This record gives sequence, structure tokens and C-alpha cells, in this order.
Amino acid sequence: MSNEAVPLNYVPILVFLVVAVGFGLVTLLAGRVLRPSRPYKAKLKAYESGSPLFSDARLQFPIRYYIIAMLFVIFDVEIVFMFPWAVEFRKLGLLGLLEMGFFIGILLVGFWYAWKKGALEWD
Amino acid sequence: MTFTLTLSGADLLLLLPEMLLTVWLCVVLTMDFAMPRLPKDRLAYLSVAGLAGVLANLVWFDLAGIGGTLFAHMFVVDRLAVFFKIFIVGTTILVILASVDYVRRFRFFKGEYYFLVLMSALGMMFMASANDLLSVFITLEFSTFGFYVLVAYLRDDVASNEAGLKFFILGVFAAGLLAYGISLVYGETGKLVFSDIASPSATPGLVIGFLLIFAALGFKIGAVPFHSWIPDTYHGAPTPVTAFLSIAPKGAAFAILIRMFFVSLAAFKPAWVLLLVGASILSMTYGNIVAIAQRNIKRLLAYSGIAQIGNILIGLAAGTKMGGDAILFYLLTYLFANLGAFAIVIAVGNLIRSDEIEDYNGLNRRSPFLAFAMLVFLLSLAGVPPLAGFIGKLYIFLAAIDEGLYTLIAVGLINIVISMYYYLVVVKKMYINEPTDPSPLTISPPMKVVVYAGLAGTLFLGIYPQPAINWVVAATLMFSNLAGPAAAAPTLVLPIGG
Repeated sequence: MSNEAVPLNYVPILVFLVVAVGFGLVTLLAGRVLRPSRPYKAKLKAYESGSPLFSDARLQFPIRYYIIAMLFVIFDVEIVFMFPWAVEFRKLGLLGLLEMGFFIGILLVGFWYAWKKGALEWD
Repeated sequence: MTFTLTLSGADLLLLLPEMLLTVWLCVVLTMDFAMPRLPKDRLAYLSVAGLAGVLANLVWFDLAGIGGTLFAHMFVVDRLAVFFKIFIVGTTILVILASVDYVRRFRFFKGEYYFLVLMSALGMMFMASANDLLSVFITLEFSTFGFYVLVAYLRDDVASNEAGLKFFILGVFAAGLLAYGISLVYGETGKLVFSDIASPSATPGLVIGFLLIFAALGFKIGAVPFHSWIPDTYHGAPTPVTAFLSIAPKGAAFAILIRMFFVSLAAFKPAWVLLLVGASILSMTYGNIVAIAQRNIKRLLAYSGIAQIGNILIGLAAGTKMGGDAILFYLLTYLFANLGAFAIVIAVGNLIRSDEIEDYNGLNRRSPFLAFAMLVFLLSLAGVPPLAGFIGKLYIFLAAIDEGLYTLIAVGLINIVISMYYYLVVVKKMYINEPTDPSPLTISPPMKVVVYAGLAGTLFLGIYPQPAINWVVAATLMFSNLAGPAAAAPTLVLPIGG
């Protein structure tokens, strides 16, 4: 690591920031300069060439989607933890197996809870 | 960085209290949903039984001096960690006993309440053992998740929902600050373990990083200027949760603060002393002055809690081993007095469904026992001899005198006088005013246990503090190389104004 006042390792990030901001600014400015200005009302609609809006998007929807998604995320993350363990399975040995069992056991208690409380029932 | 993950049975022994609690909270949760007919009180006693086992385990660790580190030094078991774990588990036991009556009022999820309390306790136990910045972040979040739910537990109550939302939004903000601070410190030093970080040069990134981490922990303990969530959250949350929130997380956060300031930042003491003195003066003064205007007993205790945190910060500002001892001892006295006071609030609230101070009028006529217990707890919080609070304040001021923090002590003494006023207003209402409804009040057995435990602790620590002092002195032995007034650390010119 360098002990200089400007950390050289971070210069690429600065360059990246400048490029990112510059790209946005140049694109917007170029468009403003080049395009003809012809405003009319239809342009202000959310979907200029789609079907007209008919209701507010903030409506009530069944909360069970949320619960199912939550349960999915839990088991999704479980797999993330299981992959490294599976790769190093031989090295970790019996203790690794027991620890994974403990981990899955805790998750299963949660799953059992969700099941018993009716989180998986669709109606 | 490479880790060699070698775990043996002896290493896992260090995790035994946490593993016991993990298994036990799964058992409590399973009992709740698998046996729906089981009275929910039983779950409370089941939780207490499990916690008692964990407590016995921790006492064994403490007596046998079992210690070590795990997971590439992320997790440490030493006397300090064990002290804080005993503190947290003890608080949890008393809080659960104090909850039994209150939980009957919940309309939903009575069983899960105990599970969530145990889960928060588990998170805080890990906090007490957190030895690097990553585990600080993870354990702090872990312990707070349970509280987010618990604070908003009264689903039909607007105040409880508001409390939960405020706590959640500000808590998430503090977590963001913490993560940002950790990333800066890691970027500057390339290290995460507290004892490795002790960096010889104070670069701006390191200073900002540690300031951000301090802000996040300051949020957790509710020190001014990070206190804004405290009054509304304490007021709206179910009262047992308020009691829990006002004690256990403070202990866990002080475990981290002590490790951070005394281990990582020991060389920069001249700079952070001023920061802590400022936070301490602001917390004491703000908490005590605003408490005078309160009409609700929970809000009064919330502001008094902010002031008490200011008092504890004096010990941190002293930055010596004795300062550390004083923090630990003060936390013990605060545990018994504050939990006791909240137990009375819970008991009275259960009976008359009100937390207004006006409704404490003539409590002495309605229940002399409750009024007397409240008197003892409030006087201990104010620091009147021969109660525990007096010794706690004395200890912390002595640590500050050794370091020559005379301004801080002067402000602290003035604040004791201010706090005496609002504590005594409550006492006056209980003893002199006439009750509007003179019907006698009786309290349930579990509540009595909590009040007696609070009384016993408050009187014992006040009259015969030596065993507890020996205990806290032993818990901080690792800091005995922290120099006193003539600090051996080189004087550093730091790029922060303070």
C-alpha cells in the first residue's frame, strides 16, 4: 500500500466517476442542442404510445406473495451457504457435517413454524 | 487473507452458552406452535429455565476462567465478555418474568413474544463477544431485528406502531453509518480485528470512520446527539420491551465501545476524551432538563435513561482501567434500579391501564409495597446513599478525578441535583398527594420476584459493594496496562478539532 497523500489505487474510481457523470451530462446536452423543440400534451403521458392509464398502481394485493417470496429468499440464502461447504466437504469432515445439520435444523424449525401458522396455504 | 478454519471440541466449548440458548429458543418456538393449548405463561417459565441454564454455564466460565478466541479472532470469550453476557442474561430473565402479566394483553402472537426476547438476548450475547468490526456489524443487526418487531408489538396501538417505525428507520440509518465507518476503517488499515487496528497514524479516513462507528453505537446507547428515537420509542413500545430496551442493549453496546476505545484507539486517547466528554455533558444535561417537563412516567424514565448513559460515558471518557470498572459497576446498579422502576410501571400499568405520573397520586395508600419499592429505585437512580446508585456514581466520579476531568465532574454533580428534582416529584405524588381512586392494588407473584430482585440488588450493591467491585475489577484485568494520568502514549496532533 502506498503512503502518499493521494491513494493511487483509487484513481481509477475517480476516472470512472468523471466518465459516468460526463457521459450523462454530454448525452443530455447534446440532445438538447440537436433535437427540434415541439412540445405537445401527449408527450407528457407516462406511456406515450401505450394504452392509457386506468387506475393507481398503489392498490392492495394479497400479502401471501410477500410471504412466499420471504420463504424463498431464506432457502435461497441457505443454498449460498451450502455451496462452499459442499466444495470443501471432505476437508471439513464430520464436524462440518454436524454444523451443517445444526444450521439446517434451525432453518427447518422456522419452516415448520411457517407451515404450522398457515403461511403455505393459498386460501 | 486466508483463514484456516480449524475447530475442535475445545473451541466449540467457548460457544456453549450461545448454542444452548439457540437450541432453547428453538424449543420455545416449537412448543408454542406445536402445542397451541399450552398456556403461554408456561412458555415464560420455560424460557426462564433455559436462561437459568445459560446463566449457570456463564458463571462456570467466569469462575473457571475459560477464555479464548474463535473464527479468526472474530469471537472472543474473556472475563469482560462473560461479565456482559451474565448482565444480558440476567436482565432477560427479569424482563421475561416482568412480561408474564403484560403478555396476556396481547391479542396476537403471545408465544412468539418470548421467542423474540430470547433471540434478541442471543444477539446481544454475541455482541458482548464481538472482537472485530465485521462481527460488530452482524451481531448489532442481529440483536436489533428482534427489537424492531418487539417495539411495534401492540398492533392495534398507534403509538406502538409509530415507535416501531421511528426505531426502525433510525436504526437502519445507524446501521448504514456503521457499515460506512467500518468500510473506511478497513480501507485505511486493511484490518478488522480490534487489537490489530491500533494504527500509528491518524489519517482523515480513519478518524471519520471511527466517528461514524461511534455515531452508530451512540445511537444504540441513546447518547445525545443520537438520542432522538428514545422518547417516542420508549413511550410507544410495550412497557416490558421498553425495560428490556433501556438496559440490555446498552450493556452490549458498552462492551463494544470499551473494546473499541480501550483496545483499538488507546493511542489516540487525547483526541477521543474530548469527544466523549462532550457527548457525556450533552447527554446528562439534556436528559435531566427535559425529564423535568414529562407527564408520562415512561417518557420520564426515557429521559432519565439518556442522562444515566451520560453518566456512564464519564467512565469511558476517563479511559483507564478504573474507568472501565466503574462503567461495569454502574451498569449493574442501573440494571437493578431501572429494571425495578420499570417493573413498578408495568405492574401499575397492568392494574390501572395508565402510565401518566398523575395516576401515581397516592400510590402509597393503594399499595405501600409498590410505592416503597419505587421510592428505592428512583432514589438509587438519583444516587442517594446507601443505595447502589450512590456507589455507582461515586465510582465513576473517582475514575474521572484520577484523570483530572474536573469540568465533567462539576457538570455531573449539578446534574445529580437536577435529577433529584424530577425523581422526587414522583415520590411526592406517591406519598403526599391524595389518590383519586383509593382501591388497593395487588401484584402477581412473578412481578413480585422482579421487584424483590431489584430491591435486593439495589440494597446489596449499595451497602456491601465489595463482591461486585471485585468482580468488575477482575473482568477488566486485561486493561491494567492502560496508563493512568501520565500516559505513556505519545502526544499526537490529530486532524480533528477537538
